[in-house]
Amino acid sequence: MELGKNNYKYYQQPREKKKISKELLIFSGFLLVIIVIIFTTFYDGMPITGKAISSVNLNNSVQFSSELTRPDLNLKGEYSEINISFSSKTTIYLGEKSFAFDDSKENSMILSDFSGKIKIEGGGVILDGRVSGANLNGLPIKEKNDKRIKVSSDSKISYSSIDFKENLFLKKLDYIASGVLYVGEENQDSINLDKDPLAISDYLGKLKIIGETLFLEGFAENIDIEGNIKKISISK
Amino acid sequence: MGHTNILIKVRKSRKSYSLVYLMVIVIIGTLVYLNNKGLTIPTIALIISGGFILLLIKFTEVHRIKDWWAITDSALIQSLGLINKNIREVRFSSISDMDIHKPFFKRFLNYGDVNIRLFLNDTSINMKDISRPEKFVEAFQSIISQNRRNSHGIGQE
Repeated sequence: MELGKNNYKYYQQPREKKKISKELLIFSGFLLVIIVIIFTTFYDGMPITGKAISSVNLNNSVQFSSELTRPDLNLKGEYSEINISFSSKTTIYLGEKSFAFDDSKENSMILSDFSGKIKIEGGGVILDGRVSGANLNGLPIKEKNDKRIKVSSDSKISYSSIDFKENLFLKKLDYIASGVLYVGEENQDSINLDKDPLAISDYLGKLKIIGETLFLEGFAENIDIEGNIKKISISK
Repeated sequence: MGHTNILIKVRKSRKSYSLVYLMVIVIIGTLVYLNNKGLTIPTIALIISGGFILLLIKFTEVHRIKDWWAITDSALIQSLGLINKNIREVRFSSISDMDIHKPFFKRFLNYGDVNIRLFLNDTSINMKDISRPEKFVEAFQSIISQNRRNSHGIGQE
């Protein structure tokens, strides 16, 4: 209480705590949900999910190439071009069109600007995504108005080769591998693997599977090999 | 508090939650649009969106049903709250007048507040966000008139 001019007593009204209204809370929640949807859709692997994808720092990476046994892969993302050669009795759906193939001859499929999931399991591949266009045995397929086309198949496609034309990123490749790893710019060092646990972290480079062999050529931030008589960890 | 003969029962109109429903439509619309554009929506985003939509709808329904007002042949009953219920019954003879408050936005969707003032009492009954408040007031007044006619008729006999 203060004594103001003319000795009047002024009482300071205690400030009322402002309550956060329910409406404001709901609207804030709504905005947050929209931000989460847009951010996670356009920036795959945001920190909330704990799987942040970042570009590989080539200065801190090991350059290598390899010919290894084929692993099972679950890929998700956007790939500018994927070439698949296959001879498999299957039906491939591109948008509303379906294309039936048999296993009597080798077929080729080129997918442009694929976004979605690719599951490589054994000698088969399952596609679930959309493309801007495709080429099946030389026949180009594109939607009017450049609308993206949904691609899928009724069964696993038995491939003879899969080739990702542009560099792709793998956060972790972890499996029991056999084959050869060439390390260094000029492949000066080679490491033989014989059913050894191999872990490659943050790989950026080319990926090709021909038959039962996985070909990698690129950079990785870390390569770990754990064998019975050897334990090798390579990083820069 | 006998209220065996409820003539009209009203709750908050769902129209008052139209902005909430609009938010739900915007979220679903965004997901559909992104899917049609060929983008893969992560599972975490779908779970968060679905969970938020369910929570919103649950909240609006619970918020709506917790308060209600009913008119019997002789009284107005107000029930506020779901867990801590506050029920108040007001005889027609205590009601002095009623007015409707319909701001600009609510006029489009035809819902508003009905304020029932009482004799000798500061606490009026405020019925928030009633659908078609004019029709409700008209029906209410008609019931009050009928009640007065009946009580005068009994008195005269």
